[in-house]
Amino acid sequence: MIFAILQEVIMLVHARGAPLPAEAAIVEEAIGNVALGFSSITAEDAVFLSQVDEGQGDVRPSADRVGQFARLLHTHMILAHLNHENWYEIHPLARRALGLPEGPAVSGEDE
Amino acid sequence: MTRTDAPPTVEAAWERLWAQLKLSEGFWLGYHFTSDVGAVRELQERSRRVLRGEARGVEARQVNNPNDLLEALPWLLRSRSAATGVVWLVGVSGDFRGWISAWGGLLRRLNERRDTLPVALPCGLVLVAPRPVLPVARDTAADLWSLRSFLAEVRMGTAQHTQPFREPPVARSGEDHGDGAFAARALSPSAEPSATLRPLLRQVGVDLTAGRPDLAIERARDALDRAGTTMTRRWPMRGSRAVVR
Repeated sequence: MIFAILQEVIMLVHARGAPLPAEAAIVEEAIGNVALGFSSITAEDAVFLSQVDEGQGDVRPSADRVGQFARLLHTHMILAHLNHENWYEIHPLARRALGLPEGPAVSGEDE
Repeated sequence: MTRTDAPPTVEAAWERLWAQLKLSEGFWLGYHFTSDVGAVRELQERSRRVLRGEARGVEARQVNNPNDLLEALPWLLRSRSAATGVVWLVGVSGDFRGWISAWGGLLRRLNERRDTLPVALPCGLVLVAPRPVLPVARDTAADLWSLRSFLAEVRMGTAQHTQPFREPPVARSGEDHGDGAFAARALSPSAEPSATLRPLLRQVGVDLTAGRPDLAIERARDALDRAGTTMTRRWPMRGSRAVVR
């Protein structure tokens, strides 16, 4: 996702003939453009994502939710971290779309 | 949506689409979410004007009935030449509810053929759908979605309240007004010389820098002749003469 944001920054800088390094406002605008892809989260997914957030990295979906969990991983709504112990968090841009406070409510092993 | 809560406008979308057209080579995929058919036409016309300067064209297909959207699949996958700059598929008119399942079906098929797309389309592909299709595009055709390099939306009625986007001026040196500055401007990306002209223009710069103005002028004339010949071949004589002069 960082490359998508970088690409957006390059496009905005090029289109405006803006100087480099890019100003913070352009970077923020680029993040906002990429965030569009994380908007329009269904109510069903919003509930699941909120549960992931409340689980503080520990996700144990029921059998009928495994497909939903896999899809949310596939679309990067949920990020999987594999640093010794697997743990999960909501993508920061999905957090923004859901109106959750910034920063995960999890404490990973390396934190 | 940006944090400034600025409404997504035609100008904002065009600013990024323009950069996409200018910076991208080969296949790229864009999603454009709007129900404003007028805004889409405006963007198509602007992309047509920009690409005309590169002797490239725009192919567009507008589907008016959701039941007909899937029929666009063979058209989309048809092999294009490098003369095509961008392909638009538009399916937005009328009630958006009918489009959600129609786009879902087409995007799933495209998702299955995502490896074919870059081979068939050596250019951009912009899919234009109503805003409610966004989660469908993301969730039901996730692999295709991951290929996107352009994502924009335009809300209805935001076109008339915005500052028009202007292409950035050619970067110029404020200090050096000599031959070096001229050569730098000639070689700047915004001048966009063709692959044929680029080495000639580069040599013009080398000759100028090396103090060989006569040779530089000769090479510049050669480049101008070639540019004129190319434009005469591609466009009507009247237009090409105006450009060369």
